[in-house]
Parts: sequence; C-alpha cells; structure tokens
Amino acid sequence: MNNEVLAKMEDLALVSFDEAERESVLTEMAEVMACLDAIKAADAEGAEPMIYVQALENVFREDEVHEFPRIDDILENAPDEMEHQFVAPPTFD
Amino acid sequence: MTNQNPLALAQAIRAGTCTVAEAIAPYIEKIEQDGSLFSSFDREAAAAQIDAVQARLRAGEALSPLAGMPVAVTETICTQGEETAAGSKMLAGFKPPFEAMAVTKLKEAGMIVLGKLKTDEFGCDGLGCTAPLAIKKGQVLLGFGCDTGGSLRAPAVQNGVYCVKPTYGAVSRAGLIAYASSMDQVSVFAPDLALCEAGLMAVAGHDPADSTSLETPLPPAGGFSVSGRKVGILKEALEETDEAGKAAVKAAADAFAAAGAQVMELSIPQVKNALAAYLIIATAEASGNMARFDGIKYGYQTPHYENLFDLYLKSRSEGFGRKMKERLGLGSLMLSEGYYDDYYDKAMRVRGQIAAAVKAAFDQVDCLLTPVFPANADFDAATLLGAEKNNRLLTAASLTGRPSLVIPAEAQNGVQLIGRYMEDLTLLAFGRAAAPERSGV
Amino acid sequence: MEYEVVIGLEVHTELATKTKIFCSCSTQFGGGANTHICPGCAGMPGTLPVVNKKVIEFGIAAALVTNSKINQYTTFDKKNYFYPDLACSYQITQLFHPICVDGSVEIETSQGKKTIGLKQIHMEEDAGKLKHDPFTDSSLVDYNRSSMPLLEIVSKPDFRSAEEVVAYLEKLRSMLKAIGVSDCKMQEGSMRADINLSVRPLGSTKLGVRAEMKNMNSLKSITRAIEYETARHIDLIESGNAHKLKQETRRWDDEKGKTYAMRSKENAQDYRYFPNPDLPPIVISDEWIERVRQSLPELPEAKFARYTQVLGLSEGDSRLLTGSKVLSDLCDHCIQAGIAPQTAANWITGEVMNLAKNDGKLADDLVLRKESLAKLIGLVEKNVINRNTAKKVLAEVYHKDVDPEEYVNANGLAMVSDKGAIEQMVKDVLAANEKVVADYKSGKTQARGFLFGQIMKQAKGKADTKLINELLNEQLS
Repeated sequence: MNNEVLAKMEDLALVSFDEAERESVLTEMAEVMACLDAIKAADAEGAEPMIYVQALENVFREDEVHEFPRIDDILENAPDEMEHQFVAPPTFD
Repeated sequence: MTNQNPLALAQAIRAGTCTVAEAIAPYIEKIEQDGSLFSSFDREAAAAQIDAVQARLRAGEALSPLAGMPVAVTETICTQGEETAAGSKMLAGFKPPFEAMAVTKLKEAGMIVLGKLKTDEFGCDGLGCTAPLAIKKGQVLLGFGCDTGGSLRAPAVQNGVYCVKPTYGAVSRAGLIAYASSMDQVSVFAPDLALCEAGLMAVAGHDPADSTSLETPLPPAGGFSVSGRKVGILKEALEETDEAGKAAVKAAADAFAAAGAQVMELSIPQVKNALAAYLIIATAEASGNMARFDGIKYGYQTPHYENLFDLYLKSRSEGFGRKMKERLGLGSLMLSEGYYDDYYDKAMRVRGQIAAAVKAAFDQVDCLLTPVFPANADFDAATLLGAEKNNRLLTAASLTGRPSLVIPAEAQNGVQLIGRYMEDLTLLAFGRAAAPERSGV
Repeated sequence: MEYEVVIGLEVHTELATKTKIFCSCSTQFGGGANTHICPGCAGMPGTLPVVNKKVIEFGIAAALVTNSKINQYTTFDKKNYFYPDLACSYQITQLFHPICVDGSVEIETSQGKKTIGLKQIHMEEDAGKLKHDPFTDSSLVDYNRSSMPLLEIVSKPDFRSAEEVVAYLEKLRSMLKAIGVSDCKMQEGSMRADINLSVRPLGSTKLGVRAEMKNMNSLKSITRAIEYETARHIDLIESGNAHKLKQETRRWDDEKGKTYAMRSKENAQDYRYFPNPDLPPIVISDEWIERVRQSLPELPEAKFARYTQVLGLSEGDSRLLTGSKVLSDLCDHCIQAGIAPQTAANWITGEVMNLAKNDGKLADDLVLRKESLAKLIGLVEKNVINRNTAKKVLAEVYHKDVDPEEYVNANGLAMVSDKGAIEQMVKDVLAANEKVVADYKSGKTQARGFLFGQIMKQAKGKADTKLINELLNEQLS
C-alpha cells in the first residue's frame, strides 16, 4: 500500500480522501491489505469460485409490459430536473 | 403492558378483547418520549395503518399471529415516499417510489410498521447500529434490517437481542438498499425466539422481483426435537473468543446435552480465511452497487463543481463517510487489472472451499455452534479493519448463505448457531434448546 | 508499398422485444423523455434485475443463424464505468460466458464470396440518451433507452475493405430482420457499429496500431470513415510518422468528413468486470435450442434457393421477391392459395411494385392484404374479370383496402361470359358496320381492331377478350 495505490483506489471508485486524513487512511489500508494477504497466499488449487450462493438457474420474466405508474416520483428525487429529465454537467465537447 | 406476553396480546387483538390502538399505544408513547433511535416516525401514518388493520380484523380477515403488533424496519429498507437514506449523507432525502417486498409482507400480515430505525452507514458492519435498542426500550416488538456479514447479528447480541439471518434467498431483497448482493439478507431481531420465528415467517417467501429468491417455502420444523441430534462446536471459533464467549458456548452446549443432543468439537480450518474473503467479496460487490450514487438522480449533490467528473468526485467524497470510501476504494481495487486474479477471483475460490468444508461438516453434525464475538472485540473501533474484525466469526454463514441465529448471553457476547440451507425453522428449534429459559412462547 | 486494411466490427442491435432486458418497461420507440422508465432502469437503489426470457431466445436464434457455438451455461457480468447515461454506473453485459462463440457469416462482394468469422455474440443492456441543452450548458438525461436489450456481435478482424464491411452489415441486417430478432434500423440507432481498424504492409502478418470508431449508424458514413481512417494511417506510415499512430478511440465527424481523437479519459479504462450475483446462471438445454430452431422462419438465402430451384422463378424475380419479407410473404401466400408461382411473381413484381413506387414506398413499407391479392389474381385466373379491370381493382385494394370480390360485384365489373349475349353483340356490331366488314374482307386487317373495340365498348369493357376473338373470327370467316 502506497500513495500510488491509494490514488488508484480513489480514481476507480471516484472518491477522494482529505489531505489531512491521507496518512491515516494509508496506514489503515495497509493493515487491510496485510489481512487480505491470507487470500493471496491461500492454496485454492482446484477450487471452483462460488459466485452464486444457491443452485438457482433460468430465473426469467415473461416479455409482458408493466409500465411503472409513478414515474414522476422517480424524477422528484433528482437534485435538478429539467423538461422531465435529469440534469448533468455538459458531456459534449 | 409491553412486558405482557406479546403473542398473547396479539391473540387478544384477534379475539377482539383488545384493540390494535390500545395494544400499540404504549409503544408509540415510548417512541414519542425518545425518538432518537428512529430516522423516521410518522404518528399519523401509524394511525392510518392501525385503523386499516383494525378494519380488516373487524371484517373477519384471517391475519397472521402478529397482526396488530408494532414493528420497525431499518433505514436500509425502502418504504414508499418516505426518506430511506440508509444512514448516509449520500442518500439524504431519497424517497423511494416503491416499497420493499419485506415491508409489503409485514403490512399484508397486519403488522404496524411504526417507522424506520437508524443504522450505521449502509448497515455495513453494524458498529454504532442502534436499531436493536428499540426492542430493549420497548418501542417496537420486533425489527427487520439487513445483515451482510454480521452487521445486524452483531449489534443485536451487543444489545442483548436475538437475531436470525435467514438462508440466502429465503427473504426477498427487493427494496433492500444493496451493499453486497451475494450476502445481503433481510434479517429479524426480536426479544425472543418465538418472535424471531413469527417475524421470519411473515417476511419469508418467493418474490419474482428478486432473481435469487427461493421458490420453495421454508419447511416447518414440525415436532422437531434436538434429542439424538448432533451439534458441532467450531474449534477455530472457540479458540478465538474470550471468557464470556466460551462461557456462552459452554452453557449452550450443556443445554443441548441436557436436551439429549450429542455435542462434539469440530474443526473447519478453512474458516480462518473467512474474514479476508468476506472483505474482498463484500467490498467488491459494494463498489458496483454503490457506483450509482453519483449526485445526479437522487440523494446528495455537491453545491460546487467544475465539470461532470468533479461533480461525481465531490458529491461522493462529501456524501460517503470515511470507512465507506475506504470500502469502495478497496472493492474497486480488488476488481481492477492486476488484482482481480490474486484477490477477487481467489477470494471466490476460497469461498467455494469454505462452503465445501462447511458442507462436509454438516455430514457429521446437524448444527454448528460458535461464540458471536472474538476476544478483544472493539465496539468503538474507528478503523475499517477494526470494525470488520469484530464480526469475523459471523462471516462464514454469510459467505455460504446458511441460516445463522445469534443468542445473546452475558458480557455482550453470545452464541451463534448455523444450520442447514432452508432449515431456518429447525435452526430456531435448536435455538430454543440452547436457551430454554429465554425462548419466549 | 502496398498496404492492407484490417477491420474488426462490433455490431450492436436492439432486440425486437416488447419489454426491456431486466425490467418490464416498454421498449416502444419515441414518446416523451423518461416515459418508459421505472426505478430499475433509472438506477435507483433497492431494485433488482430479472431477465426477459425472450432476450435469451433471440440470442439463441441469432446464434443459430450465424452458425455459432452456443454456450449452454451462460451468465451476466457487470461492467463498471461512470457516465450519466448509465443509470447504475455499471452495464449488465456478458464477458466470461457469452451466449455463443465462434460463428460465421458468409458475404458476397464484387470479389466473390467470403466468410467472416465471429468471435462471439453477447447479450447486454443499452444506456440512456444524453441531449445537450445549449441554454443551460448541461446534459439532459433520458432513460427511455436505458436497459433496452441488445445483442453485441463481435467479428474477428476479417474485413479487408469498406465494401466487405457494408456487405456484412447488410447480410446481418437481412438475417436478423428475417428471424424477427431486430428491425435493424440504422437511422433509428437500433443497429450501430464500432469499427476497429489498422493498416499494415500487404503480406505482413503483424497487426498495425488499432484505432476504434464507435457508434457508427449509417452505411455511408461507415464507408467514408473507413476510407478516411485508412488513408490517414497510410499517410502517417509513408511520411515516416508511424510512431504518431496511437491505439485510441476516434470520433467520426460526418459533416467535416474526418475522425478526431477522443479525450484520453475515454481511452485506457479499467472496467472491472465481475460476475453479477443478482442474476443466476442460464442453462440452455438441447431441447430449448431445438425449439428455437423449429420456430425460425426461412432465411433469405434459403428462400432464394427455394424460389429459383423449387418454384422455378428467374434469379431476377427471386432476388427482388426474397429481398423483402413483405413481397415474399405476398408471393408465398398467393402460391399457397393455388396461384401459379410465375403468375404470382408477375403480379407482385409488376403491378404491386408499380403501385408502391407511385406511392413513394419501398417494398418493405408497402401495406397490402395478402389475402386480397390472392383473391384478385384468382378472379383473373377464373376469368371473372379481365386483366385491365383487375389492375383497376388492385389500385382500389391497395389504396382503400377493399375486398376485391365485393368490389367487383358491387360495381358490376364481372366479365360478360354469356356466349349468347356476346354473339348477339358481335352480330349487332357487324350489321351496323357493313363497310368496315367489307374493308376487312378486302384485306385491310387493321379494320378488325376497330370491330373488336366496338364490341368491347358494347360490353362496357367487361367481356372476355378470348371469347370475343373466337366469335369475331367465326363471323368474319
């Protein structure tokens, strides 16, 4: 764990830590990474990854339209709304 | 009145010798005296629910054994039109236009959902989660929240309350604000096992809106008796706990033996890796689930920004707490190039190993017994690892999706019972044998 | 030096399902912004995806027509990146176990036939749409398109020219349309292509530096972009500036006819794919594949072979008819109704197409009740009306959707085929035109045409021409 890895974490997750807390975050993350080394070191030869907890398969929905009745309540949550749309800073260059 | 046997009270309501309003009044009074455990409580909405349930009873509708009883859900569970901020500034003001399936089921069963209980941010580790206190204070009869890696079971035991995390898929996750999708489960906390069971029965069941929801209903325990059954004390967990934990395990083991069960010690070395695997998988899944909090569609938006990515970065950095940011950073890293194979994929394989080892253990026993907290649990831990370490004996059940019941004992510790898939009700029967003096009716 | 361009294609086609891939919102095109959304496709927390079964069936169908190997264990993954059109900040797609791999599509160009290899086809959700608002300088986000079902068809780098690319896209479009999987309308964005292009000296086996052009949605701009980008690469290599070529995403500006490098943010992204635990795996049984195979309609190629070899139609007619599902449906129905294939083909390629052309419509857009066409041709075949009348009735059928039989009856258009009545008319006309008859008999053969016309006039145009000719010949001899 170093500044570079921390910067990568911030970049990927789109979060940033205050300058003042960086030092302690680094220490904490180093502790966490040390704990995770158990996984890196574990012998998982031949073990299948367990992605799904239950043995479910083929869970489907029929192709039938059910429109959501309260669309305005979705948009009501937006910090900024214009013409029934969400508003973001410009994305076009 | 709240100390009266609640199931008897519920029966009086159904028999018409007591009204719902009368039964609920003392609970509401206590919330109004001190509402600090609640993120939202709306007296009028409660009154409307009370009237509706009373009307259904009068109309002769057959409601559940808990009809008319006061319950609450944590603020990680969506209720329509009510703020559901999951304990985070990031989701401040978020009003879902829909209701969680668990809430719908509670209302269908005729329970009165009095309000929402506060949790730690997104209910991640349960540190500082005060929701179970509402039971102790007599403000609600039972509560529902999300347990991912012990995040509800831990604060329950800490506060002297029972909690059952059901088999993964037994209760719908629809309307639950997701932290780690493969482990999140709506869980029940209550003052005794009978209420745990009634609460679980009320929310369990198939939901087509959740693709991981199990179709078959939980089979009833019937006339189950622990006599002749085998209980395995998990050696690795016992080694890690303190005197209180050991004492709690011993008391439970003695009770099992007294009830005719055969108690043995059993080793599953693979569980040593449970915490590390849990941390990787939970944070990785969370990094995906929580990427949608971008300050544009709902929740918190930073007041000052220069461009799109600045808005994202500032909204998320100001909206999430420090531990949450560490989790999201860590989870993103675990999935990134150069880390995926060594950490995320490996953790999934280790999880597979743990599941296989636990399954093998269940060839020998019918129930696993562990203490709840390890030695030196630090309920004031400020760091991510410190907080997660407290719950490390609870993560194996989460990783494998097995039902886990925690029973509080002395000195803020207790025991955990882990059962077979879908046999949640049998597990509760094991619980009654382990804690016969406090199991309710 | 001679160069060759090496191109690989990622084609996105929007599927013709009624609902989105993971929620029950309608996929209807058009309508106001955010009118087909729900908490799920708008990215709200607390929502969960549930797979639309039809999407899997369309995926199987696409696999079958592209000779792909179906992965009978297929799963969904999350691809993570932040952008306002991506409601959840991840796209549910398939990386680890796509629905099928190793397919092929045969194309035909001026150079002959060629097989294009497919790396894989996978199912995924679309993103919403962003619109720039110039007054507030902001982006407005519409999630109607969010979570629409897509198939991404990833080719191998097998193309060597824009012509091959266009032939491939047209082939894909005709196949997917024929099996009802997608309407593949490029102008509406229901079919879009990402182009990966590099240039290398002819004969070299090492690939050059790759440029990617995303979201191209017209065959014309695809051709222009490929030609422009190929020339740009060759220019840089020839002028000793090959080192300036970068692996990057470039944007095609259709107005200026140039490509531009996108900002570096769009390049070098780490998408952190991982399996989506919210969606259990999908297991596709042999029986399921067989059921889909049985339900597949005939592909254009097979149809062409049937038209030429079984029905005995010319290659020209067959190409025209099988090039449009509307026309071939009309033709097949007429044949089923007992009309000779050549007769049906003649009517459709002739009169029906004429009506459509005059109406400003392409074959695929014309609307004509196939039962009505078959009835109408039947009336001619059974000598109830003659060909001229039939043309007029067809126009009525086409424009006003009348029933041909009822229309013929209501307007008294049925031919006079009472031999006695026509014989009387012939006699009357000959008697009234003795001079013309004399002219004819003295060798003025054109006089016969006048007599025929007079008889037809008496019959108000509704007489059986064959019968008139027979009787006229009889009387004049």
